[in-house]
Amino acid sequence: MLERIRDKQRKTAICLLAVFLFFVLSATIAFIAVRTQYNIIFNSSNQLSKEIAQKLALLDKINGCSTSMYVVLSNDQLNSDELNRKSSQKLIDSLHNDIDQAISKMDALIIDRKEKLFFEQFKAASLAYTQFAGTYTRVPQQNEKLVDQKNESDEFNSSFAIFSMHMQLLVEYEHIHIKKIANESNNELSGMGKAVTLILTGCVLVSVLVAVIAFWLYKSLVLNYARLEEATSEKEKVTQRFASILNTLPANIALLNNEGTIVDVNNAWKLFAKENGFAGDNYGIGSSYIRGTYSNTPVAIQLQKMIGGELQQFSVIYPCHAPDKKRWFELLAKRENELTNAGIVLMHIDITEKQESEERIKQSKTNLRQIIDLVPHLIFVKNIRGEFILTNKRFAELYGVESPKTLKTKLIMETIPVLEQGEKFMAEDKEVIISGKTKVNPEAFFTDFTGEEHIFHTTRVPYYIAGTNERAVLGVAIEITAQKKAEEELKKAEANYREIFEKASDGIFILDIETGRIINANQKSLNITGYSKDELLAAHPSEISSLNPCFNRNTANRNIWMAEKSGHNIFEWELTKKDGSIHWIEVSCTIANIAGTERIISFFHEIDDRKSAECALRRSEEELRALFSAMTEIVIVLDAEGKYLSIAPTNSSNPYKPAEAVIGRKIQDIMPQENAGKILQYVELALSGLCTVSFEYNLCVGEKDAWFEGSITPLPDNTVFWIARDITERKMGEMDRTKITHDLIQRNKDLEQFAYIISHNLRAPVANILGITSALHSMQLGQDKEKQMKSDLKTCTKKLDDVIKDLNYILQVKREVTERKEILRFSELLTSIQLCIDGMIRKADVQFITDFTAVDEMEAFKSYLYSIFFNLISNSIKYRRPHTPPIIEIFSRKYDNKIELIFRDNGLGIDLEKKGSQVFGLYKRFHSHTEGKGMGLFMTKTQVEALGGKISVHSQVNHGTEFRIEFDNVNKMEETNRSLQLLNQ
Amino acid sequence: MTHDFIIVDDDPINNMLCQLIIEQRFATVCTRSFVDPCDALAYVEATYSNADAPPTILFLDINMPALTGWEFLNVFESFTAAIKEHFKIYMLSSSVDPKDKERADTNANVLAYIEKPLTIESLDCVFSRL
Repeated sequence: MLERIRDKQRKTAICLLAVFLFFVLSATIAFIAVRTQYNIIFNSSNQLSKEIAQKLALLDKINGCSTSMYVVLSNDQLNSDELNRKSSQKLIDSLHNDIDQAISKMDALIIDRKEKLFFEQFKAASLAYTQFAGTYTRVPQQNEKLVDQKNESDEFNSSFAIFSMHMQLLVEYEHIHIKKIANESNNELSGMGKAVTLILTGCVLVSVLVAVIAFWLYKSLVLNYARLEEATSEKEKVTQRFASILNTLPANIALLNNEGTIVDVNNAWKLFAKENGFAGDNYGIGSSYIRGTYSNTPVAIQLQKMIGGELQQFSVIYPCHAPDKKRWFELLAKRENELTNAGIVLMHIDITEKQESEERIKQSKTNLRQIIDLVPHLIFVKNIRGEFILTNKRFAELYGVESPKTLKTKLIMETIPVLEQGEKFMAEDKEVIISGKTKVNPEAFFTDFTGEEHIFHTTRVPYYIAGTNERAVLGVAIEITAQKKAEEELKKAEANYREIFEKASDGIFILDIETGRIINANQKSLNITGYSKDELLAAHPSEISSLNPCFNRNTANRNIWMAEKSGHNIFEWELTKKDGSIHWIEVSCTIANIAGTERIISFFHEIDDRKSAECALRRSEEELRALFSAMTEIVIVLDAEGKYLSIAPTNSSNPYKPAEAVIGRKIQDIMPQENAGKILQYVELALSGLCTVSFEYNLCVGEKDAWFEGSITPLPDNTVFWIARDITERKMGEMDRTKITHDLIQRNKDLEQFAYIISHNLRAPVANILGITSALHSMQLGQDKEKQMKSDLKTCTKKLDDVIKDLNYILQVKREVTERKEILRFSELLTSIQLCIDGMIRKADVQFITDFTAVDEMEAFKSYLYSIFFNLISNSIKYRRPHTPPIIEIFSRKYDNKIELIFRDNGLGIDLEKKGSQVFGLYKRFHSHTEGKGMGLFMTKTQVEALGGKISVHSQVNHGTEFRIEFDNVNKMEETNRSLQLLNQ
Repeated sequence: MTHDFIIVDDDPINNMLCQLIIEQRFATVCTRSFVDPCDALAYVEATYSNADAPPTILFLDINMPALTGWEFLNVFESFTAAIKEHFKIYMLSSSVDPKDKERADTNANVLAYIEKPLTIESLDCVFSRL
């Protein structure tokens, strides 16, 4: 308000000053304008006056000249002599000039129209005069006569007169003109002066008026301002007090305007804001409490209602927990002034302590209630009328109501499931209330709403209901139903155990663990021992040592089984009865805790019958064992599925696997699948046919191949008896024999073949000889033909001889052996052959690759080994591939007591698929392009075999051939030699 | 009825003798002999695919290097029927192995087994059987 007033004052003062200045300014401008105008007018009239004065001066000059001219001319007429005339002529011309100049000057100054009219007339008069003056002064010609002199002079005078008149007129006019101008300017100037005076006066008057008004206004404003100043300071004081009151209040207070915007806050608010980090720019002043982030909160909604006038005030309690502590606040919102629609006061009051104490009370109440409810016992408070004041949850449960609240104020007689019990309880309650003494009922029976019996140990104490002083009873009932039942059960069990003890079919002693005395003995034990119970209980341990081994066994053993304490320790014992007879008993000893003390319990019964049976069994078993140990077969019992049930302890030298490794397992898991399957088949066969099945099979035992003869016999309980005998030796012998027979047959065949071949080769030349001789004999042949035939005959005979020689050679090799075996070096052998066929080697450009590092020597017949090397090398050279230099590789290997020699070439090769069977045949040839009898490889084979070796061939046509010669160990070699010799004989 | 003769044997003396015997028996007959059975096969295949080739009697030795008589027959078996129908094959060998005789009897392409040497009598025997 004050500000506004001050503002208005300032504005008014400025306005007034502006008006005043405006008027002063306009007056000044007007004055200057008039002043300027005045000057212009003044100057122009001055100018005009000057021009007119000029014109008048010019006119004077013209007048003077004209007058002078007149005088001159007037004189000339008189003297008229020629010289004079000429000088006057000159004078007149100069005057004439002056006049013309003056006129032209005058002409430039003429502006006025009327003046111009006068001037034109004057000019014309002047021109006429001067022209006349010219002619007049002209010098007359010689023959001319000055006639009309008189006349001319007249005329000249009149023109001068006219000129003078016009001159006069013009001057006059100019004078009038000048006067007029002076008048006009005077008039104008005086008018202007009046106007200026008027304006200035007006301005001064208005200014004064305005100044007066301004002063008045200012005066009144200053007065007003002072008053306002006073009022304002008064209000400020009130406001300050109000603010200090507001700031000293501990609540956080915010003043809201009617839009819900915070207008002001107190110190507590600011402090709170600072502490909690939301002071922001201005502690929230200026921000809205009902819009933005606060909209839709309950407080905002309530505030909006207040703004809308629906509410005058409200309060809300809310938690506002800091990270380190719990806080509660109460928000009070109230109108500043309820009568007007003033702003709203918001007050946040910290009510944490109050809230906390309330919470604590609530919590301790809840705790108490919980304790009461959680106690498994019954807690109740009743008054003398039997009305429930307090009960707990368990109580309510047994009454079959939902919660203790339901029971409150109800009467016991209305709610108890069994009325008689209720009356009893009421009576007990009354007794306590009246007597004021505690009462305990150790065994109160109560039937709950489901009809189940409960037994309680109930304690009742007198009780005053808080705040009323009314007498009541507080009872706590502890349920003892289970204990009671257990007690009963125990009693029953005790009786049962006693019964069992006495009626047991075994004799039972209970012994003291320290002394060994009998503490208790049952009826059966008395029967078995023949003593009475009293005798037994009174007997010293040493006296009864023959009765029971449990205590008086030797100390070491006893300690062991006592230390173990695990279950029963069973002994067989010879018991001497009271009557002296001896019987076998089986005694079982154990340690048991009887009524808190460790005792030895001994059970025993007579086993005389079993003992004798056992003896018989043991005897028969021993016999069986002896029988088995005499057997070398493996004896196994299998079930139908092939499971090993048992293995007899026979003296078999060759068990497949130890008995413990196979018992309980199936044959499929132990033997190779093939054998197991076969044996299972036999088992099935034996079981289905109920007959013994015999078979042979081989097995790998350890690393050796073993043969067995098996027989499977069905047993009555669907199991079988499988006896296996090791027949490996016999089998091996058989196999050896088979092999020898096979070898013999093969050799026989070879020999037969040899015979055929020999006979064929013998017959071929013989046939030819036969043919030729018959031809020679019976045909008529030409001379040449005959000669040819004879030569052929010779060839054939030679061939026949060759064959016979071959045969001899072969047979020699085959039967041998005059030569002695010696140690031969392969490398030396090769060198001597290379030397022997050096020419052939050179010619064919043969390359040898040899390696005898593995083994370089062996014992053999020199001629044979030489022949073998020679044949194979010469074959490789003979049957080389054309255009390919032969490469012969020879090397030796040694393994498993065998020597192997390998000859490899890169020659033509042999088609083994077709000729494989004939490679080593006698007179077999595979290449027709080179000579050869087909003896080489046959002989090689024969010689290799004679040395106890074997030869094999690998070859690929056009790639080469490889021969492998394998010699077995020496012993075998000799053996073979012997058999060969035998064969040949 | 005239026949041509082909003799396959690695023994040139035998071939010469056979030729002599055949010429003795049939003066105008055409006789060819081959030392290498491969050459003989090549000749047969080349000449006898023609339908108007003459019927021919072939004497075949068994023991020959490179190709035995049996192997010769295996190759011959693979020839077309047109070639084969021209031939009557006789094994001519000095072998006394009963297996060879057996094989000759069982082979469809062989008519008979003749033991060396070939004589006019055995030749007549051949023809009497034709």
